[in-house]
Formats: sequence, C-alpha cells, structure tokens
Amino acid sequence: MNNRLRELRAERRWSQAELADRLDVSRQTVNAIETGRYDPSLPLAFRLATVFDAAIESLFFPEV
Amino acid sequence: MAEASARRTSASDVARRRAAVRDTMPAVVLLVLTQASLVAFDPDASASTWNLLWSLSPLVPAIWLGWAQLRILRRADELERLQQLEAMAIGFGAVMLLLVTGSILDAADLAAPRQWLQLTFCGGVVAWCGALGVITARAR
Repeated sequence: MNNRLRELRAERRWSQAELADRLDVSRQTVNAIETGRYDPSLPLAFRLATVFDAAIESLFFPEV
Repeated sequence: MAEASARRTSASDVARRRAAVRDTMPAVVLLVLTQASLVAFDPDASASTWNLLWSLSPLVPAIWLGWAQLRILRRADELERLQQLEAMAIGFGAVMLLLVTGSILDAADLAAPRQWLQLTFCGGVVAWCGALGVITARAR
C-alpha cells in the first residue's frame, strides 16, 4: 500500500515525532507507515485521516 | 539540526519507555537480590517452611516481570505490539526447540535436566530479546 503521509506531513512542517504525538503512536510507527513497510490498522488510518483532515482514500492507495 | 529534530522520539515514546522502566526496575532489583541471597546462603528448602519460601522467593519478581511485560504490551502501539509478539514467538520457538533437544539428550543420558532447563530459559530469553532488537532495528 502506498500513501501520501510524508508529503502531507512536509506541507504542515511536522516532524515524524510531532505526527506521532498527534496520533499517540511511536515515531518508529510513523516512519514504518511512511516508508510503506507497515500498513496501519483501520482505526489508525481513521486517526490519520482526522489529523490530516482528509478522506482515507486520499491518503492511501494500492500499489500499481 | 533539522535531522536531529526529525529523529527525536515522540512524547508518547518517552512516556511509554518511562512507564516500562517504572514497572520493571523494582522487579529486576528484587530478582537480583533474591537470587543473590540464594547463591550466597544456599538454603536447604526441605529443612523448614521458611527455607522453602526463601527458595521460592525469586518467583515473586518473576511474576512481577510477567505482569510488567503485559502492561508494556498493552501500552504499546499497534506496530510495537506486533514486533513484541513476533519476538515472543521466536523466543517460544527457541524454548520448544531447546526442550526437545534436552529431552532427547536426557533420554540418551547426555544432558543433566536441571542445567538443561536453565539453558533453555536463558536461550529463550536471549532469542526473544535478540529477535526484538533485530525486528525493531529494521523498522527504524
């Protein structure tokens, strides 16, 4: 699964740690999601959508 | 500077780490003290009830550590929990393998069961911690 987290985070000038604090997860988890090594659960994906004020389908999309 | 800021741990990481230390450190200290007292005085467990309780005293911090590990798992986020469980599965596999090996060696009169049990426990802990180190390092 690919995602736009890094791009959206950069737009807001947040560090991985700042995003991790907003999501109440570890920085390692944010890094693993951004690099595509870990696909988040649905609850965490919804939290990400809330934090970025975006729809889930605009954050995550399947690898082509 | 920017790299250092991007690399810093999140506040929830720090809080979780502090809580883990708070939960485990007293148990580790107690485990070391009880083990040290057993090694130093070597009480005869069959001599009295007191000696039996003394011999079993390391079980208290051991159970405490198990409880602390449960709390660490509950506080962990979803990726950390997955990593912890993977590492525990590897540790469990190592314990099973060592137990089977020990039973085969014991059947052939090639291993002392007591020493092999201690080796099995240590091997399981080493496999668990080693696997956790490798798994978390890969995700960084």
